[in-house]
Amino acid sequence: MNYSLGYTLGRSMVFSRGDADALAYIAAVEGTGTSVSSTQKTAINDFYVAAKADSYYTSLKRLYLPIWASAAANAIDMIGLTSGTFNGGVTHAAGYVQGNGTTGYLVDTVNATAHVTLDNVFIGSLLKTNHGGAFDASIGVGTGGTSIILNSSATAATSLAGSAVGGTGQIDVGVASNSGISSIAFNGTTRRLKLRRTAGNTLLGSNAIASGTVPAVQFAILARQASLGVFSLHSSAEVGAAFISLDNGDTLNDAFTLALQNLWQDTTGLTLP
Amino acid sequence: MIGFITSPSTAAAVLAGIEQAMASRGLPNYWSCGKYAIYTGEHAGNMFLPFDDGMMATNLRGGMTPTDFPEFGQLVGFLGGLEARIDLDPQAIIDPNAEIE
Repeated sequence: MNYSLGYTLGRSMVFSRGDADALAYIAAVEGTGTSVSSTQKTAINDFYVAAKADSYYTSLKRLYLPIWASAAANAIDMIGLTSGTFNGGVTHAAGYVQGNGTTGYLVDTVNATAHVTLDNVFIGSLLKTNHGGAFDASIGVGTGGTSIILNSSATAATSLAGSAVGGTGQIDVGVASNSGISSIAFNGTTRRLKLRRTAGNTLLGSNAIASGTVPAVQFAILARQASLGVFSLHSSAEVGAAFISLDNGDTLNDAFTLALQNLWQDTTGLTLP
Repeated sequence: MIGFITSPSTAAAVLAGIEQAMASRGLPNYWSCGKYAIYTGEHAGNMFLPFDDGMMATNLRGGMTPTDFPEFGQLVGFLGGLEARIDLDPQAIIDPNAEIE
């Protein structure tokens, strides 16, 4: 048996024994006519294995990895294999999607109430590069005290702000760059805004807030769904991943964002800023 | 931004047609042009369907773009043809009474 045949058979055997959810996601992506390399398959499998070993997998409700330069593949949720819907002007590039800042967004399939509760939420997004637009949402739902959202500040061009249910106002922090994996979590007592970059994971701010009401509409990515069918705060950011989860506490949340960083880097060949 | 101006009912019919085009092939509803209410300007009260050249070149799946689907021509024809598109000021689709934060 020559090396290439042995290698091919070996990879095939590895993936025939891979994590079942990883295999299902890979099959779904390939089913859209998108090629998935062996390196990407390994990275995807490693992600699922780590997520289950670290016990945060069951808390994940949606994970979009829009790296495939194809709308159908980018719309696939890695957790439930559901398909969100891209709307309007969205560029599907290798490694990320980019909204046009006016009409483009991805909307999830079910209401936020099906994913999170008023005192248990953890959402985030991966921005490939710094986004300087003011008051643009990378992921969000609702308005005011019922909003769950990550966005740039209304006042500072380079910034990161986030709300969780019940908060009056946002945690709003000026940063040198908002690229990286930003997240906001709320455990019913304290909300925490974090930014993971290659250099490390930073708690940008936290505060105690009261529990509020989860909006009964779907999350949007690259925008915010304010109320049913009304989308605003459209972003032209380059988004490489977005997730909706329950809050597992900082230790497991951090393990997840590190695994997400590895997943995105290993499937795209790009490096998180 | 480039697209069609149409009535709310026609906009809903077009989006339903796009969804049906995917459903008839056993596919989920993974892509749409989207529709936006117009709040201000001469087209207030109508809907805006974004339809610029970049969007029509979107890789939907396996290298196919919206224009590769036979239903595309039918839906565009329903809207008056590509020449019926206009360039709308993005401010027109922003609700001036919307809650900001």
